[in-house]
Amino acid sequence: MTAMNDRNAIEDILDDCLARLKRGEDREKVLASYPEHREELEPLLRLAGELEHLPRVEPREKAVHRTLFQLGEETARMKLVSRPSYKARVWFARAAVLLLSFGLVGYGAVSLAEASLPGQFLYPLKLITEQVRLNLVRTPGGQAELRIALSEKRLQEVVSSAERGRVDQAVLDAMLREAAAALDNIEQIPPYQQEAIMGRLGSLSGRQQKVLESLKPKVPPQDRPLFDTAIQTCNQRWRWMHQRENMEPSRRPEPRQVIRQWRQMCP
Amino acid sequence: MNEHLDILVERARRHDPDALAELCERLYPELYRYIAYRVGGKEDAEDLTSELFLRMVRSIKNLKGSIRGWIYRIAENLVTDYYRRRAVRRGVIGEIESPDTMPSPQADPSRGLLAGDLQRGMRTLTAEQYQVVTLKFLEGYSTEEIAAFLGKSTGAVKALQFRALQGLRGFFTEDDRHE
Repeated sequence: MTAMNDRNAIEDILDDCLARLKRGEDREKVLASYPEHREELEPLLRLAGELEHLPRVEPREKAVHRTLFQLGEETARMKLVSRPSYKARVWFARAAVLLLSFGLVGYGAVSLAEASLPGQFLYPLKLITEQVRLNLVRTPGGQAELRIALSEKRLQEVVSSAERGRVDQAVLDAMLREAAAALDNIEQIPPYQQEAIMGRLGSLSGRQQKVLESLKPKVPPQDRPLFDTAIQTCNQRWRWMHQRENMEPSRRPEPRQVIRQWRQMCP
Repeated sequence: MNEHLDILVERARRHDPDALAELCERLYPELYRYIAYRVGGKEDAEDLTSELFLRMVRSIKNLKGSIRGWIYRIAENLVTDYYRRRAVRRGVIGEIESPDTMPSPQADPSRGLLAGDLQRGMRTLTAEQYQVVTLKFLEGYSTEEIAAFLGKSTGAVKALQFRALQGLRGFFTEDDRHE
């Protein structure tokens, strides 16, 4: 029992010494308060001092931003798969009743609609389902991500239709509109995510331009001017984002200016 | 400051993205340091810290008690898994029972970002001793604050602090004898 009390005593004494050193007291003076423990305390206090002077490792800013971005994506993903709010569920229920009233059988029809192309019977259902998904995502970052995904989807539809010799101006316009809409709430998104979204929009525009250019020879000659307009818009957007990325961060246009410029670049 | 942290944690538990981001920005540096001193490689430490915060987002709803105590436990599990994976990669399949079986930076000089006697000695501490040492001497928290973070009594923290410093002293005395 006495040995245990002694142990507790030395642990308390060490802590007291460390606290006094931290307050700026001289080590010799602190040790002089406990002459009977001096021999045991002295090397421990010296070690503690050395630990406090270990080189301080700081994380790289890039690594923190990467983690913050991953965090944003993970949160948006979790919100997408998590149980929607009561309001959203009411909205979803109404949409489901609407779909059923059209004589379509719930999920199966929605799944079939997912693969449908413009002009096909189930395509309007696909657009309604997308609208429901957009309403279920509550964070501005998540909505921007979904808009980018929808713009990609419209591009795929343009590709599938063009391979069948068809061009639908409404889908081409929707592809460009969804990409622009990704910036609608950009000011409400944390800065680290704003940059990432603008970067993705830049590369999306570049990809859309290349895909449309490669498809152009396959579409009927009378429809090519539609492609030309879309290609020009994508090219302008990609160039503008590319120039912005290459600017010094302090000289880059504010998100508000980006939104204005992108809207002007919409057909 | 802690009161504000509690409010932030409550908001983060509801997956408020701004609260999660702020929590990450506030805790990232100290947890990065904790992991970096433990694993010794900048890239590995960054990857593990990233993974740590992703785990935080996925399971913060289940958090009970102090955020720091909880997140430091996750960090420790990640570090243990990291060394286990490395051991498997090296063909040494087996459980890592204590940190002193972990490879030291000297065993792998290419990873020597934090090479140095003190860091080498710190790797011989138990997980709890290491937590107390980093929070106290590297992050500058008081014994009372550490006790609150880790959900321990101040007496337990003082005991861990004392044993950690004694352990380090023993490590260096041993080292000196070998040299």
